[in-house]
Amino acid sequence: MEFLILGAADTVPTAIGSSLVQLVTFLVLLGALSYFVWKPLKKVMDERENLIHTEIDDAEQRKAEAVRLKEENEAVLRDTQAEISSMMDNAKQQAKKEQEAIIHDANTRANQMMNDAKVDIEREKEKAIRDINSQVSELSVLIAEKMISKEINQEDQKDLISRYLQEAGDK
Amino acid sequence: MEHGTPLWTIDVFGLPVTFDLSTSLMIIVSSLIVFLIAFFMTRNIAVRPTGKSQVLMEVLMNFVKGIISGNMAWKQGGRFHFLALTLILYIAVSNFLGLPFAFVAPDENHTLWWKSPTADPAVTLTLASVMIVLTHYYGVKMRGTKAYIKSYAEPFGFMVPFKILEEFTYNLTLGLRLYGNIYAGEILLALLTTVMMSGAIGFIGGFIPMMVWQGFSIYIGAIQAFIFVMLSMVYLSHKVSDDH
Repeated sequence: MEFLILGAADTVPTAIGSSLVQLVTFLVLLGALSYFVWKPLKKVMDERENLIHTEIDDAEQRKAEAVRLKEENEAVLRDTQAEISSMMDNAKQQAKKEQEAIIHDANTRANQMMNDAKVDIEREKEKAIRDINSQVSELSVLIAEKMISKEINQEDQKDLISRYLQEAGDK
Repeated sequence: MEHGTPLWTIDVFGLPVTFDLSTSLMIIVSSLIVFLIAFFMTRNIAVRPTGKSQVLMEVLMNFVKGIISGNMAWKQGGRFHFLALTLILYIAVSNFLGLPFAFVAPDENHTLWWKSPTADPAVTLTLASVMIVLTHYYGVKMRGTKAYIKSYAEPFGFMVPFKILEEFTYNLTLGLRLYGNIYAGEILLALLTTVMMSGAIGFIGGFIPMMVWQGFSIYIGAIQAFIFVMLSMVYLSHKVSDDH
């Protein structure tokens, strides 16, 4: 019985035989290749894929972390700068206040000392004038004694002259 | 040019089953070559590829993955990955085996021992049948019996006979396309060999066509392997995908 398909003298029994051999061999080949070749290869490829995925995820995470840290650092830096400038301002104001206080103190003390000195000078002057007055009166008496060559009571003369002087001073 | 076929018949439960020994031999040789190539190319595999062989195998894997995911979602098609890989490698190697030489025994029948296993219709039709049976199996398994039966009456009820006929034509065309291409290629190679053996003029005249045809046959062998796997995946996706 000739098989319908053009072939090298194929008959139905040979077709069945070839089919069986082909079927069994192919199934064995499929099993062997799957177990020894495809499965290990696929495993390695899947591992690589997973590795790449995790590495990319990791990198993205690190990038986000870096951005966050940078923002944090900038915020800290800004805060610090603000703090420093406010501290500087405070210190300046403090220094100015102290400077003013010191100048004020110095002025006050200087004025005080000037006043004291003026009072002292006044007192010394009055004292000096008093001394001069008494000496002048004594000298006048001496002069008068010499001029009129007459001894008069020294006390009377002193009174008289001081009266004259008083009058002269009033005029 | 007629070639004889080595046959070996045994009785299985009273039925005579005859094995075509050259086809059987070539099936086993082809499978062994495929296995050994793939086996020794993947001995030193690592997450960081160290050799070219691993890269080549991964390229093949991704290529077949591309064929499958071009037809259906990878969630559904992933389970056919190893099958498609084995199929494309086996068919490609089988197609190439008949190209470099043919071994004809020096007996009165000119018994042909070395040829492409895919130059035998029984082999290609077996492979095609396996794929078509798988489409039905996975059609029922992944969509349920109801949806599977209903798919025959879509989009119109009167198409049921055509749809049933279509399943058989798929099987026949899938198998015979591969067989026809490879068998025709081998016949032409055999004819060119006869021309070249005929004498000095024949040798000179046949040399260039021989080279051209062998180069073309390599191309055909690769393309036919690709087409076979591609169409198998198309048929699978028809049965497996929900949107059809």
